[in-house]
This record gives sequence, structure tokens and C-alpha cells, in this order.
Amino acid sequence: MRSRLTHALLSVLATVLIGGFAAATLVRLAPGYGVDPGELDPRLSSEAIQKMRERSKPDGGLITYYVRYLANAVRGELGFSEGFRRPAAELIAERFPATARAAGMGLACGWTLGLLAALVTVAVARPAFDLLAGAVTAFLLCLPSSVMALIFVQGGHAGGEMVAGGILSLVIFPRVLRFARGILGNIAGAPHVLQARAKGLSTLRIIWMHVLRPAMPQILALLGVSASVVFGAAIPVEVICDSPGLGQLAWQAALKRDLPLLIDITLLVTILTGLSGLAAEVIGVQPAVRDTA
Amino acid sequence: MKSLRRTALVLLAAIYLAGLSAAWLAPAGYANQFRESAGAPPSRAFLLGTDDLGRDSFSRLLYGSRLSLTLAPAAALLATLIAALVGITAGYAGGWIEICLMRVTDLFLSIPWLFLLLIVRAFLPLNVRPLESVAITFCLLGLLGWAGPARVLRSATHELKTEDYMVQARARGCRPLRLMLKHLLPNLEPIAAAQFWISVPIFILSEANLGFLGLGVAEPLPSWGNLLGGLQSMDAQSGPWRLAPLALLIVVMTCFHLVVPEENLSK
Amino acid sequence: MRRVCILLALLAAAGASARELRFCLRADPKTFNPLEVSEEPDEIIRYLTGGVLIRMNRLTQQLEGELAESWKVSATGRVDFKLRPGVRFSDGAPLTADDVVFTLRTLLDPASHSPAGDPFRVGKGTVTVSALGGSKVAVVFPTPIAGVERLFDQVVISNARALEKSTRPAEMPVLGPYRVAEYRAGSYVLLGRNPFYWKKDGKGRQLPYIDAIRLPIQQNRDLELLRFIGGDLDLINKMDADSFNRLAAKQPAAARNAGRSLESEQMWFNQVARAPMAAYKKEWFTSREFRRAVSLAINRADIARVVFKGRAAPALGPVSPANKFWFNAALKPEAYDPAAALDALARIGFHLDGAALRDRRGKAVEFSVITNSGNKARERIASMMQQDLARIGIRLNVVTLDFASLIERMTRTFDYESCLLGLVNVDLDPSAQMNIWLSSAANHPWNPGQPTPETAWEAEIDRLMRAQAREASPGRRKTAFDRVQEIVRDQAPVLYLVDKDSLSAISESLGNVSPAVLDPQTFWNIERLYFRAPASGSGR
Repeated sequence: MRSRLTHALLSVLATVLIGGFAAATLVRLAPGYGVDPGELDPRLSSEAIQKMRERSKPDGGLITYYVRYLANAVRGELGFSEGFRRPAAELIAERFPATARAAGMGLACGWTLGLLAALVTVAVARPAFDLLAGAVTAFLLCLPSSVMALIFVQGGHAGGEMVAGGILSLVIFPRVLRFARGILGNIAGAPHVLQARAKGLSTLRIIWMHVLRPAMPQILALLGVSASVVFGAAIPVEVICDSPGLGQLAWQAALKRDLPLLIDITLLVTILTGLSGLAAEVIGVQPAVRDTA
Repeated sequence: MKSLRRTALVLLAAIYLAGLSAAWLAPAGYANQFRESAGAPPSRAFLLGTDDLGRDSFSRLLYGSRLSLTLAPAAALLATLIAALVGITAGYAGGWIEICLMRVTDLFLSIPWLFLLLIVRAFLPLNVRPLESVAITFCLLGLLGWAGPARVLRSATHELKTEDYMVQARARGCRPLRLMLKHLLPNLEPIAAAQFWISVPIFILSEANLGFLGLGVAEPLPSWGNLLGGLQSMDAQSGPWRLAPLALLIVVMTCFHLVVPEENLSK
Repeated sequence: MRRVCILLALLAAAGASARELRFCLRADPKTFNPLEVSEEPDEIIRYLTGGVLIRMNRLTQQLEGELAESWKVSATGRVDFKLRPGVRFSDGAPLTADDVVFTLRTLLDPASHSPAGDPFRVGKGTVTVSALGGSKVAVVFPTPIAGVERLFDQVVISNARALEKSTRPAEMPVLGPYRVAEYRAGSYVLLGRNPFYWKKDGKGRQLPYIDAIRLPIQQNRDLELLRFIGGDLDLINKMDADSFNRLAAKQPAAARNAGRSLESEQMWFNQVARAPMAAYKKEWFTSREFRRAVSLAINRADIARVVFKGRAAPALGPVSPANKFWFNAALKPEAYDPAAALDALARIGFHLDGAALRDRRGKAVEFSVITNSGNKARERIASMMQQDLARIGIRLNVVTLDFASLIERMTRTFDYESCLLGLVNVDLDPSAQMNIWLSSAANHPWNPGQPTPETAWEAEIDRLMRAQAREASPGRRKTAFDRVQEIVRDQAPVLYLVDKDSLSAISESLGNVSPAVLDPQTFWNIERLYFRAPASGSGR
């Protein structure tokens, strides 16, 4: 198991490195890279504008840049953001807590409510209840995160972290509910559950021991995806709610073509995605990391 | 439940038909501006009022439905097919194939693909037709949006792989390809279908979000994405009829949900 | 009893001034170094904390001495300043002539290229700055600069100590009414009063009246408006028409329209010879008659009425009527006449073929207009132009791009056909626009960086702009610049569409606010703003 885990960690590391390089390539090739909107200032002379353009010209090739970036990153220097004129590490450290709190709240509330709702639906097992759960899921799934954020803002809420967290929980909740309901519903109809019911076991015991536990590996597989979904949803939500988190920073960095910041954020997201997927595998004791000896 | 499903099916068919017949049903062209009636409430002339430029909202909703109900499901289908290919292969093969495919999946979830879309837009001629431009965008969304469903399908494949009937089929000497096609795929179909239905509204709105980067549907072509984007200029004084695109999206997605049998979605 | 009333009045005033004034910055400030400022949030903080030698009164548009008690401009290009006595930095250190010399030399260093310094370096040769005694400074320019005094409005006087601390803004000594007390990135900037600020009111009371200013960082305009309506903010500058109308419906007294602003929307055709564009399209765009015909076909009144809800007016030319002195009042409004447009096009060989306009080669007239995405007003203007031009058979493709891509096409690759953008004139004087009007300038919109003028009319504009920049007489300068405006209207390299109104939101509890059209609009007299004593039971 240890060797498989090591291999898995190494593969996550390789993914992170490739992800960072891919991000760097895309940003460098994207139109508008190295362009400073300040060039349009009519007060600036042609010489000043020329100097600005020379300053923002790419320094060396892409591979050289990336190797230099990695060497600095190992020393803890994550580059300097020209768009914000501050060290990238400082910006990320400032913004990360806001996103972590909103995303954490979103994941915790979304998962708790989703699982609870799924368990209740399975325990009650009435068609009307099922239909209601399905309708709520469909409604929330087709209500995109940025529209939810808009509704909150237009409804008079002044945005911020709490609102962002609430919206993110509404993004996660229907996904968890739909998927968990499906898995739990399947297992609830299995012969061993019927047998347990026939034996007179309590509903709570049946749900916990015979329905939820066998379903956990599949349900937890969604955990890795939901971490990515939350961060993806965080971008439009934080922009609309004006929550000063990583999502808003990523959006602003994209608009400014801020290469060091975008590589940093990509690496961070890749690490989170890779590790959350790996954790889901370990928790679910998937064959990829199980010692079958 | 059956009557509800039938109703949903009829409603869906009616909406699709209305979208496809937009050229005949729409009282006005989607680009015609009745500037004296900008922001007007519903009336006999304008069933859902007009937008900020005096364009008939009902006509734009019909034409927008035609575009979004065709292209978003097409993109979702593309994404789901790729997700199925990657996820099922990874789940069934296991070992280093699974590890490699899942790391590629992680990459696709992490990389800022907005820049790829920007690069593609930069290479497109400025005078490309709006419809071609949006079709290319949806196609790219489909090519890039498979990673999330792939992980779900991979996990489901893992579980199904250890089912009794699969073990029995392998023991009987069933070849891997036949195993996948005959035993695995039919059982994964409901999960794939669920991912497909979840992806459709995501792609509809991705198109609206891409509008902020200049990658959305070009004027004057309407789409649900840019009609939903119009909600941003709503306020308490705007009438509830301006929520019509959102209401239609919710109705369509609810109908999709009702049309697909629940027990299939639950597997 | 009288003493009690006076005490209560004083307490009320003290209570009123103890409130924080709140308005938003739309982004984090990038720098607190006043000599490197180029973006709006930085400029706001510079305005609130910086002391300048000469300040333009935003309302009267007249120059007034601030740190300079008096000044004299000679015809040879020399400016002599006499500094106001007794002025101190916020750390108590006295302002000296050496500080002024240090600031100007740093700013005018050819290596610095600051937006505030570049306008001073218009002629060949170096600018010399020297201290003459304790409170006199002389600045000698190699060639006279017309209206040079107004440039000092952007030059914040500092010293070496202050610049060293620009990365720790709370420690920076300043000369303005406020100093940075706290900066929380992504959240807010808090300004506190400068205890050594030199200005006093007519009754000898030290200014500013308001003790502190909190500047929350808020990008989302809808949220900003919600916060204002909820009483969390006191001011909003530069509102768009939609937000303004929403506010006017809810709080009519708070919505203030100061009249026509200096901001306009405009469109131009790409006339760069080396642009990657079909030759026949270059022929269209370099044709005066073609450009004039397109201009005739655009309904500017509709744009002002529909897009800006009446909070704008059709533009008459490159200068807004809000620029009272420099606006050419003889210019007539642009006509909207599609029939005349078709006639004009017919005279140069275009003809309608069904619904499509074709040139003399039979090519259908179709071109694209690029504009920045996310700007709803501009997207709507483009849609309206699309409709207007369709009436004369021209197919206009609207392409929205993110700002970086747009600038790259406009200034580097020239891979565009026409462009729709806005212009904000921060300075009234036409010399501030030299880098737009000169054909050799990098910001000359339709054909930048020409080694020599490619057309006779651009050569004429170059000559007139250079002449007015050297001329001392305001009357002769105006004559030259009026002629520039006439040429631009006649040749139509840029189609001026609308001049927008100056819209702002001002809390009713704020006194002494007189919104101006020049930036910073609502708080140009920040040191004299005060809070009216709240009614019982209300207020923060």
C-alpha cells in the first residue's frame, strides 16, 4: 500500500508540474499578453510607451521562464505580480482564507444537507417525497451559480464571504443529493437490506450499517469533484458578491494576463484537485491504492 | 408519475418545436429594434415586453431557445461521450492506465482553459458569422468539459466491475470489449445520462460567462446565456416578465428530469 | 443657557465630523508613490493625501495657489514659485524649497516616464529646477509650454523620506488634508486627518472638517449602489445611466446630474497602411466620403436616448461643451440622414444591390467593429449602429474582446477594422491631448506612429497643435484648436457619438458638495465637506 501511495503522490506531483507548464503556455500564447492598459494614457509620450512595451516583453523562452519559476518556487518565491505590483505569494496568502472559508462552508453545508436529505428520502421512501427531492434538485442544478449570486445581490444582500459560502453550498447540495439519493436508493433495494428489515432492525441501524457504509466509496468519489466544482463556481460567485477571495483574484489575473499569479493559482488548484481525488481513493480503499497482497 | 412524465415530454417537445419554428412563430425579427418602446412591459404587440434596445423579448426567447437547446445539449453530449470513454477505460483497466487517465482528468479540471478559448478567438477572423463563432465556442466547451463526469463514471465503473454478474462473465471467458459493451455500458448509461442532463445548463451559462471575455454569442444573436446575462441589469422596478429566460430554463431542466425515468437516474 | 447652546452646537459639529466619510475604490491601489500613479484608485488616494503647488478649482476651472503662495510664468519658459510659509508634512517636518526641487527633479528624470512628468518634457533639452533661497523655486523649461501651470495640479510634492516609505503607506509623511492610516489589501484604505494640514477655513478653523475617510474596495457597481441606498456609503462618482435612474427612483435628492461631462463614446476606422486587412477595405476606410457617409447613417440621438436613458447628448466633436473655453461653439450637430448617406456613397461608386451595399468592384460592404466586452453600454451602442448601418446596406459585425486583446489589436498588431471606445479627458487644455492628435504619436487612434504625416489634413493638424502648444496668447491658441476641431469634423477619422452626463450619488447628510465635471467630481473640495448634524434617531 505504501508503494502504491508513493506512486500516486508522484503522479500527482507530475500532474502539478505539467499543469503549471500548460497554464504558462496558454497564458503566454493568449492574445493581450504583455499589454499594459496604461499605454492608452494620453499623457504618456511615445518614448514612455515604448519603454513600457520593452519592460513587459517576455524575458527569455517559455521553458527557461518555467524552470526559473520552479527554482524560485522551491525557495518560496512565487513570483511578482505585475498586475497588482505585489509579490504573488502575498496576494495568495491574503485571499486564500476568504475562499477557504467560503468553500469550506459551501462544502460542509452542501454535503451535510445533501447527505441528510438523501438519507431522509431513502428512509421515508414515499413517491411524493421522492418527486419533491427530484424537483428541488432539478431546480437548483439548473440555476447556475452566477444567477444565484445575482439573485442574492439584487435581493439586497451586500455580498461578501457569507453570501458566497451560502451560494456555494447551494451549488454543492443538489449534486450531492442527486448522486447520493441514486446510490443510496439502489443499495436500499438490495436483498441484504430487505433481509435486515425483515429481521426487525431499526431504520436508523439499517440506514447506517447497511445502506450508508457500503455507499461511502462511491459517494466519496464525488468529494474530489465537488472540491473542483466549488472552486470553479467560486470565480463567478466571488466576482458578483465582491468577496476578496482566490476566485476573484484568478478572474482579475486572467483579465490582466498576470502570468506568475495564474501559474501559482493553477498549481494550487491542481494540487487541491489531485490530493482530494487521492484522498477519496484512499478513504474508499480503491484498488489503485489498496494493498492486495 | 406516468402522466407527469407524459406531460413533461409533451412540454419539452412543444418548447423544442417552438424554438425550431422561431422564424414563423416570432412576431418580429430578433434584431429588430423598436426604439420608441425600449424597456416596454408586455402588451399585445410585445408578449414579453421589450429589452433595453426595444427588441421583442418573446421573439428573442424563441430564437435563443433554438440556439441554446441545440448547441448546449450537443456540447454536453460531446463532453459526456469523452467522459464515458476516459472514465470507463480508467475504471475498467485500472493500474497505470487508470492513474495516467485520472491525472489527465485532474489537469483538465485545473488548467485555466479560458486562455485556450481566447487563443482560438484570436485566430478566428473578425468577420466570422455569429453562429459559426458560437458553434466553435460550444464545441470547445464540450471538448474541455468532460473531466468532472469522467471521475464520476470511473468510480461507478469500479463498483460495477466487482458485481457478481461481471465476475461471472469474466469467469466464463468473456472478452474485455464485450464485457464493456454488453454488461458495463448499459448499466452505466443512467449515470452518464444524469451527467449529461447536469451538464446542459452548465454549458448554457458558461456561454454567458464567456461573454465577459468576448467569447460569447455575438450581437445581435440571442441565446439563453446572453438573455440570462440581462438579469444583471434587473432591479426591483423591472417587471417579473424579465425573468422569462430563467423560468424557461428551469421548466426545460425540470422536464428533462421528469422525462428520464427516476430509477435509471438512481442507479 | 447661551454657553450650553454653544457647547451643544460644538458637540454636534464634533459629532458630525467624527463620522467617517465612505466611498468606494473600484480596485486595490497599485502604488502609494505619488510620482508613479497612473490608475484611478491611486489617483484618488494621491488627490486626498497629496499637496500640490497649484490646484485647478474643479468647479470654476480656474487655477489657485496651494503650496505655492504665488507663481510667475515668463515668456521664455521659466516658472518661479514662492512657497507658502509655515507648511508642514504630516510628521511635522517643514516643507522646504529643497523638497520641491527633489520632487520635480525625480519626476522629470528622463528614466522615470511618469504620466505626471511626461507632459513637461515636450521640447528638446533638459528642464532645470533650482531652489532660490528658503522659499523660492525656479523651473526653467527649454521651450515655453503653453498653459504649463495647470500641469502642476498633478504633481504632488514629496520628499526622499516619504518616497522611501511608499510601500508602508501608513508611515508616509504627506502634505494633503489626509494621510493613510491603514490599508487592508482587498478590503479598504482608511485615511485619517493630517494634523499639520496648512489650510484653515474663513473662521480660522483647521481643515479638513471630516476626521476620517474609509475607502472600501468594491468592484461590483450594483453592490456599490445597494450599499449607498442602504446608507453604508456617502458618495458614488461616475455612475452609469442605469444605476443613476434606479437611484433617482428611490432617492431623488441623492441623484445629482452635473451636466455634460468630458467623457464621450467614439468610433474610428483603422487607417494603418500595414494593417492585415483586405486592400479594398483599406480603400473604404481611407475615403473621407465613406467615413462621412457612415457618420450620417448613425442615429446619435437614439443612442443618447435609448442607451443612456437621456443622460447623454449627441456629440458635436472631439471636445465636449463642458470644456467651456476650448469647445468650438461654431460646430453644428451631426445630422442623421440615411438618404444623404446613400447619396454620398453613390457619388463614390457604391450602390445598393437588394439589401446589400456594394462598392464599385461589387464587394459587399461588410466590416467589423471591436469593443471591450463587459461594458453593456458599449455593446448596446454597437448593436444600435449595426441596425442603423443595416438600413443603408452595410453589414456591421460586432466583436467584443477582453481589454488586453483589444489593446493588442489596436496598438500592436493593428488587426482590426474599426473600433468603438470611450475617451475621458482628464485635462481641459488641448496640449494634454498632443499624444492623440500628433500623427507621430503612439496613441494617435486611427494611424499611430507615422514617421511623416500620410495625409495633408493630418499634417495640418500637426502644425496647428504644435503652434498652439508654443503660443502664449489663449485667444490665438483657441483659434488654432478650433481649426483642429473643424478639420476633424470634416475628415471624420473619428466618429464622435455621444457626450455623457456627469452622474453621481451624494448623501443628503453631506454638506458643501458641489459636483464638478472634472475628476474627482464629487470630492474635489474634500477638505470643506462636512456632515450635517443628523436628525434624532438617524445616522451611523
